[in-house]
Amino acid sequence: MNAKTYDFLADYAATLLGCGATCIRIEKNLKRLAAGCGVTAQVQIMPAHVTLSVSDGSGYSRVISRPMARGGINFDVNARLSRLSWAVADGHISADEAIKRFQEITTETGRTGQWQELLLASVANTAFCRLFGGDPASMLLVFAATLVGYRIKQVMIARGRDVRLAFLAASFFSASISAAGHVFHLGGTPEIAVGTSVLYLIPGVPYINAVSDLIDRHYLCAFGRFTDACVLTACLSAGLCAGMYLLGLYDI
Amino acid sequence: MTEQSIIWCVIAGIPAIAFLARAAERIISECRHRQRPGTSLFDMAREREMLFIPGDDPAKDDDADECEDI
Repeated sequence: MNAKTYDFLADYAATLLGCGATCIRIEKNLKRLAAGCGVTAQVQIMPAHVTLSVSDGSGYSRVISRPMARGGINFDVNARLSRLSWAVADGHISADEAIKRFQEITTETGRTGQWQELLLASVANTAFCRLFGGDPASMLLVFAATLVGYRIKQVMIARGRDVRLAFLAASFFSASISAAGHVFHLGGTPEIAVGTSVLYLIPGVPYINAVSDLIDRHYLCAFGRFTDACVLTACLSAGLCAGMYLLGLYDI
Repeated sequence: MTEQSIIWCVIAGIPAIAFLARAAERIISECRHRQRPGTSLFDMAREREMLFIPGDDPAKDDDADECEDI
């Protein structure tokens, strides 16, 4: 039994779970990867942990458990890990090479292009404002509000603060800043600015993943992801309401 | 100015001041070439500082030195 390979499979599953992969993707990738490494693996996926039972066909199996890797949803890592499993399954690389590539994928420092991400998220949210009928003044307010709120979220999460608190703070400041349309009578659609200023915080991927897990009958994970998404939605709603309440915007 | 606009200015001013302070802190630390990480002007207390429970493992506590006399 190669302990290094088994640890690699467990870390692989935990990383996939942490970067936002659905349960069916984790199962399929892991089985493919395990087959490529010459072992069989059964995985039990919980909302915050994965447990693997790995066997090399000799009649003995090893059970390994890992907590979900913390790192936030990252589709780039998700795609690269999936490509890695195909590379092993197709025989293009060996198990040892796969372990080395996995370490390279997971140890690349943070996400590059933080400022690009900030700018593009602000532009995207501004587009949402336009989509819902906002005028140019409202779009400008939403752009500024998203810039500030998203940056607050980035800084707080980078400092290890609770993601729920980060959502609360980001939505509070975004909603408050976008309320300048009401306070200073800017533009003709101030209510649209306030409403769309927090759309960038909606946890869409956890909701979609919850539905995907529900369809694949991973009910525990589906419920866990759905609850997580609901809590985040509640936090951003609380921030929005707090901002509106402080500014006296009761009649929007 | 109305009360509403004053409140808006205060709320909008908080992140503006925080970002300016972070930028100034970074510039100052780069100018002085400090070797050790600088202390933040703005920060939030860690969970362990706010919610210390007798029996917490001090080995895992980053602020164990501050809690010695508890």
